[in-house]
Amino acid sequence: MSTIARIEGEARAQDISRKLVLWISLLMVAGVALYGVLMVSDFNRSLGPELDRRAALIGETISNDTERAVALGIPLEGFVGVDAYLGSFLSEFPELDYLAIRSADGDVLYSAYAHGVEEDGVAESVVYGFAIDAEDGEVGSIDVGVDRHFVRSRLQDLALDVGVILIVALVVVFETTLALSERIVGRRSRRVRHAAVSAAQRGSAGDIRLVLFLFALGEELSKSFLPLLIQAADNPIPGLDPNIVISLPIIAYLLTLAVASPLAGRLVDAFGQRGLFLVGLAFAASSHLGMVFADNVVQIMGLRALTGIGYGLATIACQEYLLRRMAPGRRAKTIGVFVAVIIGGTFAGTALGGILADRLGYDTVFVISFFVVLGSGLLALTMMQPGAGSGERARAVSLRDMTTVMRRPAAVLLLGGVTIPMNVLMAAFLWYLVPLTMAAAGSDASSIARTLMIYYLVILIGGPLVGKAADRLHSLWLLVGIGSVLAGAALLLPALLPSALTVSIAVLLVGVGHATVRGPQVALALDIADAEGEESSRDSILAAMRALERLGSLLGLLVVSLLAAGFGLNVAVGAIGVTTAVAAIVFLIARLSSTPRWAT
Amino acid sequence: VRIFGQLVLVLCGLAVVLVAALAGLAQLKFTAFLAESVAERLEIVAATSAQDFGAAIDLGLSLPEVANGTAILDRARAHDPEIRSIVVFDLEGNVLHAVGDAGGNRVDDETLEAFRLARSGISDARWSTEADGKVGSGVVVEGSFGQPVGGIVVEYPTTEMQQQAGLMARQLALDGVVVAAALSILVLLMLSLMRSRLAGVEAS
Repeated sequence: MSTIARIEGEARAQDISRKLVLWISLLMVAGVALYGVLMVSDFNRSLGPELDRRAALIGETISNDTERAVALGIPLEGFVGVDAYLGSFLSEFPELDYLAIRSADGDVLYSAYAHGVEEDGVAESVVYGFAIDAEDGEVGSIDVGVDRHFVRSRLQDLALDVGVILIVALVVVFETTLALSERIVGRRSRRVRHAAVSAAQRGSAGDIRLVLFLFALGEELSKSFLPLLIQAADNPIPGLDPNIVISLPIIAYLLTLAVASPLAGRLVDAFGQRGLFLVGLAFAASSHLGMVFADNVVQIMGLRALTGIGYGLATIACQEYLLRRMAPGRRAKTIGVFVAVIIGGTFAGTALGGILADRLGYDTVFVISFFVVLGSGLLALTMMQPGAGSGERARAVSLRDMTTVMRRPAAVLLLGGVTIPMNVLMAAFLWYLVPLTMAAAGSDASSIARTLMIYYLVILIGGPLVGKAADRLHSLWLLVGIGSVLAGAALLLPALLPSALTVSIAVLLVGVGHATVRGPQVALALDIADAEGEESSRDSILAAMRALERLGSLLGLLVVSLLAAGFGLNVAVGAIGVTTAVAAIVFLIARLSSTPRWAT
Repeated sequence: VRIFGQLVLVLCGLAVVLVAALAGLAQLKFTAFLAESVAERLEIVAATSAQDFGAAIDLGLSLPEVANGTAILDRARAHDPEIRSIVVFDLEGNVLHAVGDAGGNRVDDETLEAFRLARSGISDARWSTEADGKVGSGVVVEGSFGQPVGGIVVEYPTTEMQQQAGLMARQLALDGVVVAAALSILVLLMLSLMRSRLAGVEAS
């Protein structure tokens, strides 16, 4: 088979996969819609008797009180304070549209309407009638008007959760179909290309896609409520402000992640990627199980440190698997696949975690995390090939890389103006301040999860779009600077007007800003490296950038927790916003006032 | 063929998991909704009775001296024959008036603790408890000067709610089976189509 025919075949096969993903996604949406319709009907039928009883209780109570007054000689037309009396029922029973007391002739003597219900809008109500009896027979009647769509309206918060589950399911469909299609296409291509290929070299992106997705999903289930869990835990460290205490487990996680990630690259040769993934998984799974029994902050810190090690080892193992087994020269695409899968898993885990925490409790979520992570291990045993592979390797950062980067003004400007502030913003605002600020505003774990989900959804959808736009732009620095200013400025909204809504809007804008910055800042970094003309510069700058952004996140989070302890959450949010925006403005001004060789 | 089988299995499994997750969520919502609804209703029953006792107290009677106490409670119980008991108790938890299966001379510890929190203003003046196969909703009875003089608790068996929850679970499961089966069949059809197209690509 000719190369052209093979490439055409692969392209057609991938086109079929994409269409399959689309159709199966539509099918899932239709299935959920159908189930939703059936569910509303079930709710209406099952709750009908209880709603009847509530209406009967209201009607009989009003009827009894009215009969007592009539028995005391007060005529039905001469009651006072009826509006307040009926209003008390309307505020107590949200299903009520209106209440009315009628005379024996059927004329309405008194009536009260629920907030937002007009007098002529009650034709839609289900009306229950109750007689007002006196010694000489029926003297009037009571109308209890119940909202026909009450059950449906009460299912709105359920609809939000169903929406989240559906979106997560679509992401899972996407990942699953793509993973298995890639394996089909990959095997067919390899069969055509190589009759014999060593076991260590076999593999495709499909081998780790589901494994990594499931692992990230399991890892991130607790993201939306972790600060709330730490806040509620015992604090055996005396004299430390609660806001600082809450940040410690997150800092422990970031610290061990920063240390484990560079080490993981070196461990691949010893364990192979699959082996290293399983080692990382053992750390992560044991930490999740441990969280079920942890009840104080020190224990949680230790366990989150284990999670950081596990996450670092497992994700780098997957990255190495891809890099060493993909065709040479496809590094950028490979890293793109890796990042997209991680974000997909993080998105799904964050969104589901909040819903599960609200319904089943924090401990159950950690048990689920444990089993999901174990499930990813089973998949790894089935799908990942053994051995270490022989392709490219990720560059482990060294002190020399750091000093090389720090000697370049352009790199320092990018790191200090955009990369590090944006990472501090992500760690301190999204993981630490959003849950705390929203919980303070009365939001539950699912609402916090839905808000965090917005960020990852924007990154998931916006990332590729920005990538395409950036290819056409000649001023990446402008894109990066504006994205960073936007993300920083967005935080002023919840800082000045703290509420669940303003936090959600800020998270959305931070997502847009981050989506704008993520890809282009890597391209800028590579351009800075290329300006030096050394082949190794590219790896050095990227490795140093990763290490410095993690270090920055860690220190930034510590500073933000001190700010929160000293001045409150809103000031901390505002401080991150102002710092990020000012740093980005300095970056833009510095870039505008110079014409460096690395300009793009 | 093996990977195709895996794809069928995973996607059909996903359809089942998706529908099961929706059914689970709906069931949790239903039980919470039902429990909340029943508790609110029982609180109203308790509050209405408390008003009647309050009227007697305003006339100068103490809570144990309300002679038609049982009649007041009987009238309240008539709202719903499923109500297991309605109990009026004093500040120490001693039962003063009761209808139905009150189960002793003192209210249980859970009720007394909820009453203590309510009367000391730590929680709302109303409360709900759930224990030993029953749910209880209560209110504080106040004297002429707003001081707490006792409490009223309405108890309801959880068996009926459990039956309703069971019926709902069966209905949701049935719907789920239908939807998951339909989804699985359609997924299978789509994958078969994809397989034949991929075979066509390979052949060409």
